[in-house]
Order: sequence, then structure tokens, then C-alpha cells
Amino acid sequence: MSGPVTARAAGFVACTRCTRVWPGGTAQCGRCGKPLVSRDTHSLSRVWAWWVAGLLCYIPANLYPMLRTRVLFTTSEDTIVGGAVELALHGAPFVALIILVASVAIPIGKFVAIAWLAVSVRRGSRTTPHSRHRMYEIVEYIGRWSMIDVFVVAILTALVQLNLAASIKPGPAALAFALSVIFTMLSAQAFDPRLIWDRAEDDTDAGPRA
Amino acid sequence: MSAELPEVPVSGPKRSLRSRVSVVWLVPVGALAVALGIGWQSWNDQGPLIEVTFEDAGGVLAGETELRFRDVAVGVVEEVGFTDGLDRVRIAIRLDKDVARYVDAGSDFWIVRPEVTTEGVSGLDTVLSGVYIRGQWDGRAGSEETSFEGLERPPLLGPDQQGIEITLRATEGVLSGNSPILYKGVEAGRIGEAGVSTDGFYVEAPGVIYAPYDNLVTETTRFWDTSGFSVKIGTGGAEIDFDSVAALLAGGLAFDTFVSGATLAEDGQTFEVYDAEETARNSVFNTPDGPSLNLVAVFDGNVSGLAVGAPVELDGVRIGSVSGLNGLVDEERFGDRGVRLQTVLNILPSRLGMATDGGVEQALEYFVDEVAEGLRARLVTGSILTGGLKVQLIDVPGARAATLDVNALPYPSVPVTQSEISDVQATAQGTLDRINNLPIEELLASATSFLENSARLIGSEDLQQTPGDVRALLGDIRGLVGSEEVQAVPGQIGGVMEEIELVVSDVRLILDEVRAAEAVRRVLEAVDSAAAVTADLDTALDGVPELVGNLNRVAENAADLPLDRLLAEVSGLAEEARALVGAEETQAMPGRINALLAELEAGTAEARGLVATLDEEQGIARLLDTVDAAGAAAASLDASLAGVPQLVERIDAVAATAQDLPVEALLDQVSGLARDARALIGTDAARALPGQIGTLAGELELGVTEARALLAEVNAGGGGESLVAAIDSAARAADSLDRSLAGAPQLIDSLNAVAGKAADLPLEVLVAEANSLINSADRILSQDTARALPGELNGALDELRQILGQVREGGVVENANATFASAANAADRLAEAAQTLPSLVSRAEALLVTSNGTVGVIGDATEPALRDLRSALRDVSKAAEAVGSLARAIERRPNSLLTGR
Repeated sequence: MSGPVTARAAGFVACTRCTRVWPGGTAQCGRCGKPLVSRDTHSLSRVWAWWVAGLLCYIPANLYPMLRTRVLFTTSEDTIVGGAVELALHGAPFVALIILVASVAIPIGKFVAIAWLAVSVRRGSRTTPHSRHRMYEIVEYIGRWSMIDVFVVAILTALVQLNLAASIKPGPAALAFALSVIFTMLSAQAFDPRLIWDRAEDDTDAGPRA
Repeated sequence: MSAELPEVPVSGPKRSLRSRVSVVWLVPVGALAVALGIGWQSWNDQGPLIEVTFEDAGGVLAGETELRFRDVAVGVVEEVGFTDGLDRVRIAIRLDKDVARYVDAGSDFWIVRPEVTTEGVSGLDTVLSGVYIRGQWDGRAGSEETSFEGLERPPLLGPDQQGIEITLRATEGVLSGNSPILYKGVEAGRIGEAGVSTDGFYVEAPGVIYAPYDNLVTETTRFWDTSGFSVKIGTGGAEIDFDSVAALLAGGLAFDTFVSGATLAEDGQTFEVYDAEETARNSVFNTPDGPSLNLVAVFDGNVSGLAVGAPVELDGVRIGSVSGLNGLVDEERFGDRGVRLQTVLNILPSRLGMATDGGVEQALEYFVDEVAEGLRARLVTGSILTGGLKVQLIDVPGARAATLDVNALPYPSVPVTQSEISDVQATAQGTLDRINNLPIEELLASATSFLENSARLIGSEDLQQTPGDVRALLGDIRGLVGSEEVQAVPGQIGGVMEEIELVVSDVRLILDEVRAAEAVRRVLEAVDSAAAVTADLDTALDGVPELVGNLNRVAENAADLPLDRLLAEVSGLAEEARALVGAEETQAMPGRINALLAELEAGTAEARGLVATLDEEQGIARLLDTVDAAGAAAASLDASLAGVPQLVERIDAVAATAQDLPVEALLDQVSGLARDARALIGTDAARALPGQIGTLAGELELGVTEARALLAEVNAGGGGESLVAAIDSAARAADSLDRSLAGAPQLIDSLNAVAGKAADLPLEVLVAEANSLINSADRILSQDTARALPGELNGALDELRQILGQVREGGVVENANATFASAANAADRLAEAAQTLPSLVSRAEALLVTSNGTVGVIGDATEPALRDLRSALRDVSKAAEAVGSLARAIERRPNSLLTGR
């Protein structure tokens, strides 16, 4: 037993909300009232559910227009990628890069990261649990910033309502994108990071136990 | 540690599905359901794709350009491409599902673009929003179509507009497309794009009349062009008239129905467009309604003056008009590259009395038959003043066979014949100019004063008395006429007439021969010469106005003469004459004359015999030669006349001089002379004269009897041959005369010069001399010897009578043949003499030139101031010679007058 002693190994169960440790088998936290489980057995299932929902929403978010811009009598509709390409062609590659990173790279990275985490919990991975846990934290932290696109659309829609001259309206993609971001955040949250370590522990325990 | 593992709640087989599968899975399932639902709905809502082709697709963008119906977007362009072969642009439009079932075969599509016209700006919104495609279809669902052909322009009738569609036709370019049709200034319709009709004669454009104005259009409605403006200046001031500014700039039509009660027009009816309201209005009454027949006639040569609208006449009745003109070059058809004029004849069968229904076919049949029988078209002068031409259809007897090809293009062609175009304009103008230059006003003034004087004269007592005298004289003459002898005269004359009749029949025989001998042609040549003479006379007329002016002044002077005194004398003279007529001898004269006529009758019979002889001797042919010679002589005369204008001028000058002469004094003298003459007639001897004359007539009668006998002899003898010979000689003489006349122009020139000089001579002196001469004559008449003259005359007549008696008794008849032969010789000599006449003429000319110089010397001596005038006259003389040579040149080549060389 070279690694640290876990609560579960010591016969305790920790409350994930108030972090108080209770003896194993305690159904509810006596301090904050949260139901106590040593390991969330439904965690992976929820992760995958939210992940699929987020991915479903991400498809229309990229196919439908994000913005409807009307200047005088001309209406233009831009999807996320189309708008970024257009910006790049019109001499604003930096802004285009920001949009691409915030709206394309990060969400896709999140999908990949969550899926990888979920798969690695079940099948194991050569990556150290530390790295995977850091990745989980990054995913959880950065998730909210994905909404930057939605905020830009919301602010522009609110500000640019110049009647005849120009107006901006959110496209159907804005809603889909927001939903996608929310679902991926929920997916990340549904993941129980303790599973990362359980697996690592099983791997390390195998030798001494045998 | 592993011993405590069973405490860990792990999943077991007894767990329910609910506990094994998270509720969260509902979320992706729901999302998927929503997505599928949306997908299915959008697919379900999608309308059909239609394809519209256009010439070009300016401004149409895939995914953006909308299809609008009543300005509501009902579709969007999905694709812009080309048809096979890149002929047209193919635009695929995704229709909304709810309108798709209305888009059927009757749908129209066109691209709305911004357009600036004279009537305003349309489609302005498309400047910023881009173009859109507009569709138009009715509200009835039909079988769906997916392929359409787009219109290049909006249809004339909008989706909600009712009205009738008509065709407008104009022979000239007064139809401008895309302009309004006005009715009393209100836009009641529109004209579409104008184009030239397939046959090339008209400009045609589709047009619509919107409801409810379509009720105003009947078969008698007339359309006219209102573009431009009209300016009228009249008693009411100046007036500028135009219908609307748009019509002023872009053109437009107005219409009105001048006749009420006609049937309403139908879709597709064709209307003629007139150039002005007045023309349109007149056309209602001028051209009866009904279809017309178009024929074509192709004329060659210069036909300037023929215009659209010129009448087409058949036997003088106007049956149509020229509705189109254009040039035609068709080497294959005509064999050369000349330009011909193709004329479209618009024939109204109703003018031929053919029924409106089927009248065109009937008329065409009629023309086919007529052309086969010789009907031809030709151009004739319609108006002498304007030189306008019209087309006339006439029957040309013996015309070359031709047919009217009913199937010819563009229209059946009527064969043409020689046109009859007279250019009388120039001639009439010259005549009018000349008339215009005559000093009519002055002449009238003089005539007025002359009439005033005449009125005074008529009012005089002497004149009042004259009619009484004349009446008495007439009474005497009536008595004379009533005498038996005079009554018998007609009978005698009847006998003479019978003889003459016989003579005439002979002459007719002669004339037949004359005809056979182509005399007519020769006479024609002579007439030609006479025509040339006339032309010269025309030139001579140039001097006439001045002459008239001078005559005018002479007339003024004449008006002032003391005619009344002269009249008194004449009146007395008439009285005397009456007394003379009343004398017994005069009364006896008819009897004598009767006898004389009887003799004449017999003489004529003889003459007839002589003529018959002449006939035998072929004198006619020779006579014809003589006519030829006379013709040549006339030609020479023509040349001579060239100098006449100058002569007229000279005479003019002489008349001017004469005007200044003291004629009144002369008249006084004449008056006195008349008085003396009257006194002379009053003498007994004069009264005895009739008796003498009666006796003389008796003698003459006997003489004629002899002459008759003589003619009989001549008939018996070879007198006819001799006469023929004499005629030959005369012909030769005429020839010579002709040659002599060749020199006449110079002679006339000289005469001219002499006349010029004469004009300069101091005629006053001459007149004074004449005055004194008449004075002398007067004195002589007033002497006793003059009074004895009648007596002497009586004696002389006695002598004459005795001579006649002797002639009768002597053997004249026997010598008559010899005499005729001598006459022939004499004529020969005359011919010879005439041959020498040219030299004589030239000598006379030289003489005249000399006399000219002499006269000049006289002028020089008497009037040094005339020196300048003489040199001027010399110049004029030279000019006259030049004109003379010109006249000769023209004589040699008369056609030079026409060719201008």
C-alpha cells in the first residue's frame, strides 16, 4: 500500500458538497443533507447523455446562421465558420482566429476531452491520473467561456437596432450553440473525477493484492 | 480491505431499467426528436422548384433574389445557370408551397429592375435591395408547371387590370413604344414595344386599353399621335397645344370615337394610327369602314411627287390611296440594278360597291380579270401647281399580256404602263412672270381717261344725229335689196355653188394624191419650223411690255384728240353716200351683177376642167415640192425672226418718238381733207360714176364670157402642161427665196440698225412736212381740176370699155397658149432672178450698213449729243448679231434648247 488511503478504502464516505466525512453506509450527509454515495454509479451514463445532447445541438449551431445582419435593404446571414472566414478575408484574421478558437476549437476540444475522459475511466489509460484530472479541471473551467459567442450575439442584438438603417438579429444557431455549450458543461459536471483515481488505484493495487 | 467490499453498493441484476439508465438520456432523445421534427417539417414545407428562362439575369443572385407576387415574397432563387447551348439564363426558383398550386401555364415572370422613364421612376427599391423577380398568375389553381419562359418587359395588363388588347398600326414612325394612350388627357391604356410589321410597310405595336375605358373603344374609334406640340397663330393670338409633358417627350396616342353606336372592339383588333386629330376625324367620314385590299405597283424612273396618301383612281373614281412607298432594287427580277419605286395601293372594296363581307376576295377577283384584259397602273400628275402625283388604273388597249399574281409577296403586283407626268410648272411660271411685268395699271388709267373722253364724245350733238342718218341709209339699202334682181342673185349663186361643189370633189381627188405623197409629213416639218418661229416670237415678246407702255402713252394722246369734229364730218360724208346709193344707176347694178355671176358660173365649169387636167399632169407632186420649199423658207423666216426683238425695241423707240409728234395738227388737216372729199362726192360727176360702173360691169360680163371661151381653148390645147411647168418654176423660185431668206437675218439686223437711227431722227420735221403735204393735197382737192376728176374718170372708164371690146374681138384666144409658155419662161427667169437674190440681199445689207453710217453722219451733224447713243447702238447692233448667230445655231440644232448645250 504505497499510495494514500482513500476515504472509500478507509470505510468512509465523503460529502461532495460540504466535504464532511461520514462512516460508510451513511445515506445522507448529516450536516448539509446531501445524499451520500461513495461512487456515483450513474455518472458516466449522465456524462454520455449530456454529451450526446450537446453534440446534437452543435450540429445545427454550425449549419444554421448565427447572425442575421440587415444593412439598409440588404440582409446577410452568417454561420459561425462562414463569418470567421469572411472576417479573415476582409482583413481581420486576428478576430477571425478568436472566433474560431472560442466557437469551434474549444467546443470541439471539450467534446473530445470529455469523451476521452469517460472512455479512459472505463478502459484505462496510460496517461497519469494527475494529467487527466488537470484536463478535467481545465474542461470544467473553460466551459463557461464558450458562451462568449452567445454573449456577443446577445449584446449586438440589443445594441444594433437602428430601425431601417441596420439591425442584427440572432439566428437559430445562437440558440443551438448556447444549448450545446450548456449541455457540454452539464456533461463535464456529471463526470465524477474520483473515478479517475479509482481506476489508477485498481491498477496500482493489482500487484500487491495479488 | 477487500473483506469490507461487500458493503459497497454495487449494481446488481435486480436493478430496474430506471435505476440503470439515467433520466438525463431523455434530453438527447428529446433533442434528436426535435431535430428530426424540424427536419421533417422543413422538408414537408418545401414547395416545388420551378425553372424560368430569361435573356439575361442581371442582378439575380442565387439564394437571395426573391420571387414576389403582389409584392409578397413567395419564393427564392436557388440556382442561376444556363440552358443547353448557353442560349438563355435558367433560374431555378423554390416556390412557397401554398402558392405553388396557382402557378400554372398562364403565369408570367419578369425581372423588376430600376427604370427611369419620361413618366417617372419605377422599381426604385430594387436599387438598394437588388432586383427581384415578379410573378403574375390568376387566382385559379391549375395543373402545376415547372418550366416557364420569362418576359423581358412587364406585361401591359397587370394582374388586377382588365381591359382589351389591340394592335396599333402606323404607316410612319409615329408609334413610340412604352408610351401612354390618353383619352381626354387621362391615361386609359398603354402601348407596348413597337416593331416593324413582317411585310415592312408598317410600324406595329401592341396596346391595351384598361377597363372601364375599354367600353369607349369601338370599331370606329380612331387613334392619333399626340407627341410633340402644335403651334397655331391666328386672330385669337398664339396657341401652343400639347397633351401632356410625358407625351410631349416620349410620344403617346390619344383616341376618340367620333361616331357613336358602333360595336365594341374585340381583343386583337388592329387600329390605324393617324398623325393628327384632324386627320383621324376626317378619316371617319372619308374612308368607309371595311377591310381593304393591298396591291403593289412597281414604277421605274423618277417619280418624285408621289406621297403616301395620294389617291388611287379607277376611271376617275377614287377607290383607295397609296399607303406605302419604298425603293426596290432587285437585279434578278428586273435585270438591272436600278432603283424602282414599290408602291402599296390600299384599295377599299366598298368604294367599288362590293359588300364588306368577302369584298376583298371579290375585289381581288375583279382586278385579276381586269388586269388580264389590260388594266394597268400609271402615275399621272395630280396637281399642276404642286406637281403631286397620283396613281391611275386605266385600261390600256393592246397592252402586253400580263396577269395579277395573287400569291405574290408582299402583295399582288399590278403591272404598270407609261406614266404621264407633265412639268408645266416652269412654263406656267414664265408666262405668269411675263404677265406680271406688263404695265396693266397705267394702261387702265389711260383707258379710263379715254373712256371719259369717249363719254363726252358720245354725248355730243353730232353723234346723236348720226344714228338717224345711218337709219335712213339702211332704209335705202333695204329698198335696193328688195329689188327683183337682188332676189334673183341667190339662185345664181346656187348655180355657182353647184359648180364649186364639183370643183371641190376634184380637189378632193387631188388631196388624196397629196396624202399618198406623204405631204402631211412635209407639212409637219413646215409646221415645226413655224413652231420655232413661235418660239422666237416669244423672245420677241420680251420687248412688248415697253411697247405697250408707249402705246399706252399714244393712247393717252389719242384720247385728247378732237375726234368729235372729225365725227361731224364723217356724219356728213354718210349723208352724201346715202344720196349716192339712192341714185338710179346704183339701183340698176344688181342686174348687171346677176349677169356677171352667170358668166362666172360658166367660167368655173371651165376651171374645173382645167383642174382635172392638172390632176392628170401630176402637178400635185410638184406642188408638194413647192410646199417643201415653203417649209424651208419658213425655217429661214424663223432665223430671221431672231432679230425681231431688237426690231421691236426700235419700233418701240419710234413709237415713243411718234408719241411726241403733233398729231393733233395733222388730224385737223385730215378733218379738212374729209370735208373736201365730201364736197367732191357731192359733185354731179361723182353721182354719174355708178352709171359708168354699171356699163363697165356689162363689159366685164362680155369679157368673162370671152375668158370662158379662152379657158375652153386652154383645156383643148396643152395649157395644162404649161401651167405645170409654171408651177415647177414657182417651186424653184420658192427654193431661191428660201436661200435668199437665209440672208434675211442680217438684213433684219441692218433694218434694226436703220430703225434705231430712224428713231433718232428728227421726226417732228418730217411730220411738219407731212402736214404741209396734206395741206397741199387739201388745196389740190379744193381746186376745180380736182372736181373735174370724176369726169375724167368717166372718160377713162369709157376707154377701158372700148379696150375690152377690142380685146374680145381680137384673136387673143389663139395666142393664149403661147402666152402661157411665155409665163413659164418668165417664171423660170424669176427663179433665176431669185437665185441672184441672195447677192442682192447682201448688197442691200451693205447698202443699209452704208445708210446706217450715213444716218449716223446726219445724226452727228444735227445732234452731236447722240454720239454716245450711236456707239451704244453699235454695241446693240453687235449684240443683235450675236443673238442672230445664236438663233441660227438653235435653228440648226433645235434640241439644244432642251439639252441646254
